[in-house]
Amino acid sequence: MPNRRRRWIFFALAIGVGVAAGVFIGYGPAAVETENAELRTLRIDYLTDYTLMVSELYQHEGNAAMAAARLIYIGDPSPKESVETAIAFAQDNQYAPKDLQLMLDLADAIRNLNLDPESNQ
Amino acid sequence: MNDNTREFHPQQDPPIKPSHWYLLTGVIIGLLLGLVYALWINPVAYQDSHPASLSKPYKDAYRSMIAQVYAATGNFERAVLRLELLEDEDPVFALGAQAQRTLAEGKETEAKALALLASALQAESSLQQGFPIMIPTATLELVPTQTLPGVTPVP
Repeated sequence: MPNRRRRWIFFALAIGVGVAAGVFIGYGPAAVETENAELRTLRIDYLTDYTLMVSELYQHEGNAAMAAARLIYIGDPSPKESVETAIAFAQDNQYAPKDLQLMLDLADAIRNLNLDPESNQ
Repeated sequence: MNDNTREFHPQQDPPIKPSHWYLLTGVIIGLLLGLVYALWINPVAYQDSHPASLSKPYKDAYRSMIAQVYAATGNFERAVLRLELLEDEDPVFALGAQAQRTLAEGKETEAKALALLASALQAESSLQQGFPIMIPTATLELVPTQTLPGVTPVP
């Protein structure tokens, strides 16, 4: 095999090894150390606790629109679904009745806000 | 040919050994390409993440929520448990720095809540060390008298 051609082949192999190493580092240690997650990617128990915090604030402020805005900030376009998912998780995991009631009250308030665009037509 | 004739062998240059630096160059180029692909073109999708791995703006929002809930409910134990999830190196400093930033943005109520929780945490810490101190009660109207450290947070 001509020497020049052999060098090109080894060069391409070296690039391949480098790409593999780069992808391994990028998906491994670099990804783990990076703090870049969004709220909507939180584990369900943390999301439920966030929804509980929104419920606690709603009980204090009485502002359903503000509560809905805080839930939309998570990244889920449907605050109603966010709360219902949180309530389902809370019921399955025996949350305190007081906390459950706060989330149920928030769910009622958001339902009454009528945020669904289809029903407003 | 007579005896004075000698065979002349011109001195040959030693053979040039091929350099292998091109392999290292290839690995470096590949490494950069791989990192660009993994970190920018097709980055890892987070799921089931922990609050400590949230990006800075989301961590600030989470911290602010904890403080506002504490200001509204007064439940200090719960606020501490929630703050621990963020795994801040110095929660009091983080709260205080955020309170200053929030105040500079004109969000007074939010800044007060952050400052209140920072004060309560600092008071609790002093109490545990044996220093007698008043623990501020959680009402939004209360302005903490303790001056927060004016240290610029290091990114």
